[in-house]
Amino acid sequence: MTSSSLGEFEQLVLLAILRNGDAAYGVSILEEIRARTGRSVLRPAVYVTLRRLEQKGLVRSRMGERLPERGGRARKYYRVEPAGLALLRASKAALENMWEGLQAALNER
Amino acid sequence: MIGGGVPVVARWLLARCVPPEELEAVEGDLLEEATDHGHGRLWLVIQAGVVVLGFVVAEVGRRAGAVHAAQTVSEIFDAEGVGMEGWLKDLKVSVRSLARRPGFSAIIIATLALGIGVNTAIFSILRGAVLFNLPYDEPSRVMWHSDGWRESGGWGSSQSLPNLLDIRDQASTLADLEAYGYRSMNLAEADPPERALGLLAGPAFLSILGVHPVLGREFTEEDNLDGAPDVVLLTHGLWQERFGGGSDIVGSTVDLDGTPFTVIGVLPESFEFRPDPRLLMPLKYGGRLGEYNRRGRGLHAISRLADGATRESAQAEVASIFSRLAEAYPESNTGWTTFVHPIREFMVPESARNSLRLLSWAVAMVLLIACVNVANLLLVRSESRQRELAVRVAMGARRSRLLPVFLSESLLLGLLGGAAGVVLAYLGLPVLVSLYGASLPRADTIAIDGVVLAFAAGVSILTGLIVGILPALRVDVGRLAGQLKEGTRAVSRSGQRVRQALVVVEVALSVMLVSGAGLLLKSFQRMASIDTGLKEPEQVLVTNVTLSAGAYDGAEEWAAFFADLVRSVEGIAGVEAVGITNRLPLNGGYNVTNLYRYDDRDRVSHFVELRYVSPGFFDAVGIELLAGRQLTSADGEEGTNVVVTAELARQLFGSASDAVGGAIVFEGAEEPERIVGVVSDLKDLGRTRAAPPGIYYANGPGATAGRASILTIRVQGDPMDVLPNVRAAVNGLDPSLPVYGTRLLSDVEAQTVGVQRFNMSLFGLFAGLALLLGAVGIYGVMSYMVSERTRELGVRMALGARGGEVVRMIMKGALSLTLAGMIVGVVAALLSGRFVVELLYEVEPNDPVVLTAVVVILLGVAMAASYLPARRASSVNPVEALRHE
Repeated sequence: MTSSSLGEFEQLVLLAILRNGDAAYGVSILEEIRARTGRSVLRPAVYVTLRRLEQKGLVRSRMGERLPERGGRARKYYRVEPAGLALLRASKAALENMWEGLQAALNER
Repeated sequence: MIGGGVPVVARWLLARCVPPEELEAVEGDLLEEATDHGHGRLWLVIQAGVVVLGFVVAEVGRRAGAVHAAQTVSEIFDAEGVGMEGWLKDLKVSVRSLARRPGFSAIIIATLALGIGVNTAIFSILRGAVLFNLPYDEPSRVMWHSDGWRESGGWGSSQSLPNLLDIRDQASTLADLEAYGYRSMNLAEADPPERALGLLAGPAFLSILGVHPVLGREFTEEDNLDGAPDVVLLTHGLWQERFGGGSDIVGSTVDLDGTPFTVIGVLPESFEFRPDPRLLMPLKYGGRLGEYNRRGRGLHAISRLADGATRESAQAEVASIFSRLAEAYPESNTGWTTFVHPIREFMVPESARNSLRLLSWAVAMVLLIACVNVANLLLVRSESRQRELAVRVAMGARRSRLLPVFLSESLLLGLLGGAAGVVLAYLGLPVLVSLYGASLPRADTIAIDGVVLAFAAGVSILTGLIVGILPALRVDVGRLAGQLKEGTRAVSRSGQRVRQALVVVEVALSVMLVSGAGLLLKSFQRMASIDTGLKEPEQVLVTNVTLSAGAYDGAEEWAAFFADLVRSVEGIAGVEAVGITNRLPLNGGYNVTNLYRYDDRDRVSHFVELRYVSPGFFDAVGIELLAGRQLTSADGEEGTNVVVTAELARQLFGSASDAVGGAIVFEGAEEPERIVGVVSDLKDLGRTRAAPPGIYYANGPGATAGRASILTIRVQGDPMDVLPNVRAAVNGLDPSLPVYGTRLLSDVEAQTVGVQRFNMSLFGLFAGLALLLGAVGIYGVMSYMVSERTRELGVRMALGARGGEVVRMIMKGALSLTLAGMIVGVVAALLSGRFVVELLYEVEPNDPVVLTAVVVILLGVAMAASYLPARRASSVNPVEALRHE
């Protein structure tokens, strides 16, 4: 994968961040993907991917407030950067182009 | 939030593997989710482990230069390959692919079985003998006290009650201290009569350990008074085996040494002390108090640290108290120091800990070598599977599909190897334990239990991952796709380099192990060749007889019994000489005292080991008379004539002949003793420690060994043959007496090098395995290299290269790898020498003879392992080779 295209899991993580709005952090991202895709996602995959996306400049993080239910530890919130949005749009467009006119073919099976 | 936050284990794991800037968020996420879903601490630990695994795999992937490394982890864990079905499918493929190559699979499984088997075996010994839980309350705060005689340097000598009580009263770092001792007794009620080891415990002994009886009561201060009724606490084992385990035992009486003792309680089954007592009795301070007893070292002590105190602070304080005691009572304490050790160091002897620590490293290295070998073989195979993989890639498989294929195969191999390894360990364990001999603590608890199996499973899985990850990470999807187009099998240069590096590692590890084995072998030889001073010890039967205290009254009766016994045993056919002694040769260090020359005004004090022997003792064990005469039974009547060893004669009078007729005085005594003879020296503290010289009294009413004696019987023919007759002789005099502790004097001698023999044999075994595996590794790599170069070699031969040149060329390649490995290995062996140094005797870790021998052996093995492939290379038929492509 080069930085000009997104892996499938990277797309899932970016979309989950967007769906969470301002409150996207480790647990919420993980649960979003699990709930929406029904896949059993392992925790480290999310962390390692978030870290990589941040290094590529596709997302940005900030530390939030310290919370008692987290043993006084802060959440790390993520936002999708413009570069990330651009890549998501490109992925979506590519997929839509590929899908175009295939509804009938898929429904046959 | 769940109670206690993130468990320590989980935090420790995370802190090591998660980048610091992610740590807070990851820990917080885990806690938050645990709180939301009501997960417990176990869940937290497991999740932490999963997170750690993910970060580790990502990091390993990045460092190993895997293609698109950063993506490895999400691909491995991405749902595509991770679903149970995916793994099952991969597993089926793996089973089929391994079954297709039974030879290849068998070699790998056997290699892993050796590596995992030796680790499992050593771990079960380590677990049974060293890593067990002490059944005490806060065992790390319980200390063990001992004195040390400065000249011999060690700790572990026994102590006197007046000193111990002074230390207890003055030490603020100790919450409490209690003395204890040992006394063996004849348990007459049992059938057959049993010689039972009793622990004499002061009143606070059990409360310091935090042990409470399961039945009845503990000892009180009143039980400890002189003249208090005789009471006893039974251990759980004795209660069950001898008294049927009924609760009505409390209040009943048992006969010990002819005296009735009232049972006041039973200890819990978990109770444990060293050596293993059968019953506990009150110590009764009375007779051991008073200044005269300050020199009589026969006790030890345990203590519990005060709040805030550490072992170091207690050691410092107790040592300073003791040095004040040495000033106040020089005649009892000069030349002595005192020590405080955690009780675990007493329960597990230092020699066992040292040797098992070293052996753990050795087996870890054997496993590492096995892993290197298997990784090498799998790497070779993955190269030869390039076509198959290329086809898969062309059909659209991504790395995420290929990784599980590799990993499931190597995991399967790891687990199969582990299962075979556990069988090996199960079969080999009894042999290892018996090799160690009596000095291995808790030998009866050593077994392959659930924890050991879990260890083996963990090692197997780890091994499977390690050997699989390298070939898996080297799959280059891009290159594979290209290869199919080219239609040829390109030799991977970097693959070749990796394999060569693995051989270098393997040789280096082998050098370290073989040199360790060589050093231990040399020091064992040094030690075993020390003359112990005994003659033909394999012809001497040794057995113990101890009179019951209640049945014999005083020195006259004891002496009469043993004199009768000696006469009666002398009459047995095949018996050449019979002696009795209160302590066997090589087992000294217990009855030490001071004396000086009678005519020495300065009273220069000499340490001596005191023994009471019968006149036949010297002949029986093979001690030679150097000057003067033997002891006689008349000497025993008077108790004033002594025989000394050559060393003491030299110290006191300059020579053996000058000593005869000389007079000596024991410190504190008025009347002198006269030297009538001088005999040869004994190595009394085992072979390697300097022991005090000896002095011998003739056993008799005038100088009594007491009720306990050891019979030493020199026999013509097999000494064990006379044992029934010896037993009959003892029971002819007193049918209630047990005959116990029977063995040969040569066993006593062998025991002094038991630990060394164990170290040497096992290390030698592991080094042998390392050599074997190393040879297989070199052979494998060289064979593969030859088969890869068949075409090139064919061309060379066609152009006129002779077979000899080809052999030389191939072997040169193998030798340069071996030499590189040797240089690394020798440097590593020199650097790690300090780990073996405490197990060596009169051998330096950088012993040039040993290192030279190791280099020669490894060169030989490397030459042998590369010769076969080289021969095969030289017999390449040029026409065949060229047509082949």
